[in-house]
Amino acid sequence: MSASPPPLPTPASPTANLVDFGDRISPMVVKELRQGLRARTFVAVFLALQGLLMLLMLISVTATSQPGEAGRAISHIVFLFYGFALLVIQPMRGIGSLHREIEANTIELMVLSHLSAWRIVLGKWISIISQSALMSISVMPYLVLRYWFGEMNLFGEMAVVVLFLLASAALTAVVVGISALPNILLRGLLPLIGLAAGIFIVPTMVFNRGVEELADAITSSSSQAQAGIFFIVALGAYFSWLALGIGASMIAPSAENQSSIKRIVTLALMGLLFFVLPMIDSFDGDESSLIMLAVLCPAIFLALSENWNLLPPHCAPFLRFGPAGQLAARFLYPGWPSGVLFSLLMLIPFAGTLAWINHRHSIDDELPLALFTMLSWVTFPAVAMLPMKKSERSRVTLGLVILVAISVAFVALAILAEALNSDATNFLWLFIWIPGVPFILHESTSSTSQATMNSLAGLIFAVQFAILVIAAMLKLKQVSKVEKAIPSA
Amino acid sequence: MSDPAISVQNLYRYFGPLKAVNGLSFDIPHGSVCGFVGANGAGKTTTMRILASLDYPTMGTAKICGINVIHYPEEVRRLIGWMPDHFGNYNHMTVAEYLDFYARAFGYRGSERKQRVEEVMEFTDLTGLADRFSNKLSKGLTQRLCLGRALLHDPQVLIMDEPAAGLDPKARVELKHLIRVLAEEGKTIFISSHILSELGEMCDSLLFVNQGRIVHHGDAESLRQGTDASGGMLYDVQVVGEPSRLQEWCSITPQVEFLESRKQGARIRIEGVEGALAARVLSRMIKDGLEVTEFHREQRNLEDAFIDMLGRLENPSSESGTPTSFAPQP
Repeated sequence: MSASPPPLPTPASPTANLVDFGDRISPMVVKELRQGLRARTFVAVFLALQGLLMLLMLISVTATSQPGEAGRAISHIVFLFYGFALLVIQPMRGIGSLHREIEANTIELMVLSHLSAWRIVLGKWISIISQSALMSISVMPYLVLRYWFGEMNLFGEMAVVVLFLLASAALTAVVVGISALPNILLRGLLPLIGLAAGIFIVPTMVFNRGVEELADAITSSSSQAQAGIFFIVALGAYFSWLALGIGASMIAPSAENQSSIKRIVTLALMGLLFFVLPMIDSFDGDESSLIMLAVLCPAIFLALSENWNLLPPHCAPFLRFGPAGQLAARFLYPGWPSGVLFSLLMLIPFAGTLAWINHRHSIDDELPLALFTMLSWVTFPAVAMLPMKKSERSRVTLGLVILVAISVAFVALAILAEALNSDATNFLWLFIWIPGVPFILHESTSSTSQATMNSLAGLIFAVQFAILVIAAMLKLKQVSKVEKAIPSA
Repeated sequence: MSDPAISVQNLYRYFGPLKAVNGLSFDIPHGSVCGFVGANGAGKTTTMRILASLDYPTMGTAKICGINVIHYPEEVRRLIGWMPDHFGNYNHMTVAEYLDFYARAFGYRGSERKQRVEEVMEFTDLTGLADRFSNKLSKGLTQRLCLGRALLHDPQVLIMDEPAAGLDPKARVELKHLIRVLAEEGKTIFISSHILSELGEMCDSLLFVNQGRIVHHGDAESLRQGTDASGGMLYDVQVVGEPSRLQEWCSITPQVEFLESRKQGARIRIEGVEGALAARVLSRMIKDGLEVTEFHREQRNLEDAFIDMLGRLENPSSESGTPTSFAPQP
């Protein structure tokens, strides 16, 4: 634009108050921080937290006769308020953060600039956790003051503050990620369940020595505790990444490929675990398998919940690599049909790791049943969506609804089976197709052996997966048509 | 610059059984302002969203400055500025911060960014409102802010979906002025609106679309001059004496159709678009003894032209079957 109207006689530039330091960070973070730090929720929570903590310190300093007891009381109250602020209120601020932008049509305006969907989601998340970090830093001086009351694991409690911040970051990621879902029940209900759980869990943990035990575990020299904390943090980071990925894929334009990178990273992670887990002596076979499953299950669910809408921009980067690229594309193209092949590929390192772990450690007899149940759980929504036409619009939403529905059905059947005597639970065979029912059958009847139940659960998973493979093969026939439409192909 | 600014060829977009866009083809040259007109649900927004790389076609191609929107959406986004039909503003963010955010998003840094934001605020006359919260602006000011945002990266093509919707007359005039200034600077502007009279004043060409198909692509003048969809000219004729004589004359004259009676005359349709043909009709009227006091081509407003066009599309049988020839008289 070359229009240059005469300059206005204003002495100061209207943009003089715009700071330059933000040039070094993402525009999205700058925007969200500008808005977030002015938001009443943040200001109110921050000031209330500081006010309460200051009041608490003053009361403790003036009214204590037993410093050790007072110190512990201070710790409890600091972690109670801090826990609420970080684990309940701050994540809740992410509810609707993406949906509001979608409703206001501002996501599209951002996507048309140089901001990718990932940067938008990441900016929203970083902004909230930056504010949480600010709260965490503001709590540290109170912990240092509390140290003078004695009987305190200072380093451990400070590490718990950091751990709370990490937990807050993971919870915020989940809330921000699902805030893009069009279904208000999923978008609002899951965080509200989290809120209710938080209100119960935080005081329970604080007043039942949970913080002290966590602080002791962090500072202990036990390799098992350290490895456990490391894997919990690593899995938290992985879940956060996947949750933010849901948000990014919901707001990205159709031509943007949000899947392939996610799948490549998950495959690499599975490959890494394949080599690393069997070498960690701190974990037994069950723990190693559960870690693998924690990586595998959400990745499979998300891969099978992607909309199938292959466009030329998705194909072009793969076709540059010739036949090898075309082959890789069958596993990595966005969409559930390639997601089925990707899931199949993921099961290879999983099975390999299980075999290796089994060779080194003993695996619990019930583990195969638990593994097949979990795998059936994440593949079942994709099978259920096959006959549904609506599923092509927002498969991830529908998939989550089905997941919630089968979870409710599972809990209802488990309660019913528990209430009835073992002879009256034969009706459960009618619901054998629901993931988890073989597990209930095994628990409620003594007539079926563990091996039979393991085989049954394996068979159910195999049948589900075979149906998906056939459906995927039929859909993948369309791929060559799209690939041929690309000029360079 | 040899490619048109916007080129759409055989564009189709289906939403299940609904054919939102049904075989559109058109070109818009560089530096022109093209109005996109159609009833609600005619396929305007869908077409514009495809051009803005926000949607994809079921079939066909769409290009911006020769770059395929489907294959190279990132490149296309650098060339276009997009104003959607509705959008919200941000809480706790001033006008200057709003533009600053998008300037950062478009990749501007440091003093260049500040300069760009100031230029855009001056152009859209928002300088005095720099510190006002963006969600407290009126509809007209919000549209100016959105236009400013769309101009930040100096796009070659502006795609504006109903930018004047909901604006008061003053805001509309201001917006129209800004669009004209942008057009004079050489930007290509593709704009949809329901206010046809305004489009007629600012657009070089108009694209009428109905049920996903183009029904007219041409300048506003040809529509105003009463050229109907089937290629006839519409004239107002006034005569001395009884107007029924004119009606009788039309009924026996080939290529001339009597449409309706008017005070001291009639509205007639002449089959064909050549001015010479109208001259021959007038000459023959006089020769046949009609005392013609007025004979001028009809100037309709665009709304009438659009409704007339839609009416003809919905009821094609109403188009008259006029005699096939009107031989020049010796």
